[in-house]
Amino acid sequence: MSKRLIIEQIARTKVDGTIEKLEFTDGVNAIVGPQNTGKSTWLRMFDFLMADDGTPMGTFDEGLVEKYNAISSLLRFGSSVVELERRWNGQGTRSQIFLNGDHIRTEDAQTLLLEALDIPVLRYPQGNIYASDRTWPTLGWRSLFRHIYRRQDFWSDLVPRQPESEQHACLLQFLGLAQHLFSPDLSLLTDKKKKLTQLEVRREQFKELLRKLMPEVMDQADADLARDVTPGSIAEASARIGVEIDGLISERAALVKLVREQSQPQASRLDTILVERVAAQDKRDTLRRDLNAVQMRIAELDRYRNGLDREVVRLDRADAAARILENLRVTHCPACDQSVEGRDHHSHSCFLCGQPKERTEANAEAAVRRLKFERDQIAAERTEAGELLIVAEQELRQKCLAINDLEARLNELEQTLRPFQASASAVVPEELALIDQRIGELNARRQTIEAFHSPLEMSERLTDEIAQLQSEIRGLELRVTKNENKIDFDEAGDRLSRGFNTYLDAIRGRDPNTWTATGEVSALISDRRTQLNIGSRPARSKLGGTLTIYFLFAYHYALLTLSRFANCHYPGLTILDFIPDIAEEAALGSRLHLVLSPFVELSHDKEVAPIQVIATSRALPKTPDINYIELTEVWR
Amino acid sequence: MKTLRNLAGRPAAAPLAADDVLEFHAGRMLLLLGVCGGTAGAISGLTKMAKLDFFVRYPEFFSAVASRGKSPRQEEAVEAAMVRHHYGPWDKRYYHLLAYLEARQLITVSLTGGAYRIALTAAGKMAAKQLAGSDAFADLLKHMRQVNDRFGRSTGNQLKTLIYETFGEEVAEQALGTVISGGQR
Repeated sequence: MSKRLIIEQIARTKVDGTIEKLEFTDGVNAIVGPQNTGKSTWLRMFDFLMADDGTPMGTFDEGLVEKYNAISSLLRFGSSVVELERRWNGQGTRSQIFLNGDHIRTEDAQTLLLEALDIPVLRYPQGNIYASDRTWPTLGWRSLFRHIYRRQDFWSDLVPRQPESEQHACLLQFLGLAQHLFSPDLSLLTDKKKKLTQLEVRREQFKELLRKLMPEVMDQADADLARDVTPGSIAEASARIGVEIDGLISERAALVKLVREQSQPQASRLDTILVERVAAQDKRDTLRRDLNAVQMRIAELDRYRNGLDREVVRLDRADAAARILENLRVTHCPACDQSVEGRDHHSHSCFLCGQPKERTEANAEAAVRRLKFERDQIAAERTEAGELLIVAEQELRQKCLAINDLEARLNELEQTLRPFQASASAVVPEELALIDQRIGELNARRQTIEAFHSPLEMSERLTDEIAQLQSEIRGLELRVTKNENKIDFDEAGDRLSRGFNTYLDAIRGRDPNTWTATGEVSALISDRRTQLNIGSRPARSKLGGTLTIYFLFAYHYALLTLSRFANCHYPGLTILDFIPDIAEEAALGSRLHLVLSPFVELSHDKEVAPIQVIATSRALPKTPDINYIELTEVWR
Repeated sequence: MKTLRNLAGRPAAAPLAADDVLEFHAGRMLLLLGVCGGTAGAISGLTKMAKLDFFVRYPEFFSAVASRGKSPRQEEAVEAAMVRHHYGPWDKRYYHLLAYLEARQLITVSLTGGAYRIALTAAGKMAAKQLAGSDAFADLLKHMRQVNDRFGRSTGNQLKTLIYETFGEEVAEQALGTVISGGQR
């Protein structure tokens, strides 16, 4: 039997640290207060605490996020009480969950709640379990909690906006069937069957492709092998091609020998021409290298001569500058900027720094003579460079002429060789070309055929893998069948039906105008779906308006009755945020008592207790069996 | 580097290159101040002076920068080589050269706001004017005016960055003290 979940307290913390609390008891609790006293808000905040994966800002309005920064609850699982708290930042964009003060991840909170209630964590299929490629999703706490907590605006359907497959999985979980039906073995079996189908299809496609391709690459002699493509048949075809190639190579060698014998008489003259051609080519290459070296020398000489010209220009500048600057006297010390006008200029030492002067002639005429000497030197060098350039250019012309002569001779030799080339091609029979062509074709075909080895090995591996999978599937099927034998869908359906009918009979007994639909409610449960009927027709088609609301109360009652069965997994909690128009304002209180009274009675049933029902209402006269929590402060 | 007069006694076996003649550089520097120094004939900062001188001395590099993406680089002669120093191209002979010019009252060198200001004196302007009229300096003067048009308003730091960015292999990636090559003698 799964443990019960009893909410002992819900508390929320204001940003200034003030804490607001609601205390609950076992049995039926009613949060009562006029409109806008925050009844539904308390429940919405508790819903958020129950591992909702949203953010406070996305779940609540801005005012609430700004006013509070945490919601917490004391929860009793069996005999142990834990504190679950969720805090958020000022913007409400992030929140954290704490279990007894320790931080836990939101996704882990769902698993922790399931484990605390002894509800098995399992995955469930969506759609056809063998045809669908979708991974089985986990049946989490949030999915189940939607059957426990009915929001104020969710009184139109069993569980609005929950997909049918998920709804069905939740019911099977509550009824204690899911762990047998959606066992890990079934999940594994499904996966393996899907994989088996894929592998079989892949192997078939592979074989089909090989069957189509092989005849195209094999010629007539191998056609029989193409019908049965195996590593052996490929090796045999390859060997046969090899033998044919060997035969053709022998045939070709004999033909080449014959051609050589026929061209023998002209061989000596041909050799002479070829030798001369090789010698001429060698000489031409040498000359080209020499020519290149001469061209480089000419370029270098040219640069040298230009450099000399530029140096002459620079010397002219030095000369021109010296003529202008030479007579300027040093008037000030560049170090201290003081005048040095009065100093003696005629000693053997520098009048400024005092160091001995060099004993050389230092006057304008000597400078002019030195410059003239340098210019003459450069002029001589320039003449010499010019002469060297003339010699180099002559050498260049000679090399060019020699290369031209050699090119002409090589042309003549090529012309002489043409008749030999023509006669040689004449003696090469057409048969030789055909043999070469055939050898080429056979080699290509052999390579193509041998390339099939690798895909064939892959096909063999697929076969082994398929055999292995089939063996595993047989074992799994046995285990799954054994598991499924434990499932009694009829009994489960009866349990749920009894719950519905007990509730509806109870309220009709109190007021015949409440449940006016004819026929018993029956729950037909199979491995694929749950069908709720009234009489012989689907409940949905017979319900409308207030009947739907009574039916949904009955649904929650039926779920609570499952708590009496040891193999069911319903946690014994129902939270109902009432819609306001269940009755006229004046009659609302008594009508709510009417719909809640079966819950009160159920909570006194020792086989079922402890259970907890939390409901909200604008008005509900006090009775001793209900724990009243009154809210008086109107929200904002 | 010496004045031509002091080089007159150099042995005949030792060639006399224009690059060794102090007046060769002094003349160029006076012209540089005259052309690139505006009406005051002054350049602020040794860095700016050296970078402008670099583009004058290496016409090939100047062409590469001035005609970036417009025309191919032309091979032109180096006026006088410089070396790679901490802030790009430099010539350690600048100190000798500036002292030479300052001692003859052709320039003044003053420290203004952390930077040296090199300015032509009246005598310096006169000398620069005479040099500008000399045929020997005609080509150099023309090139110097192009350098001034392109970089006269740039700061020394901008010119340094430009040289590093444009001539990575030729300047920035060279070891300190390496002579910056750019053409033949």
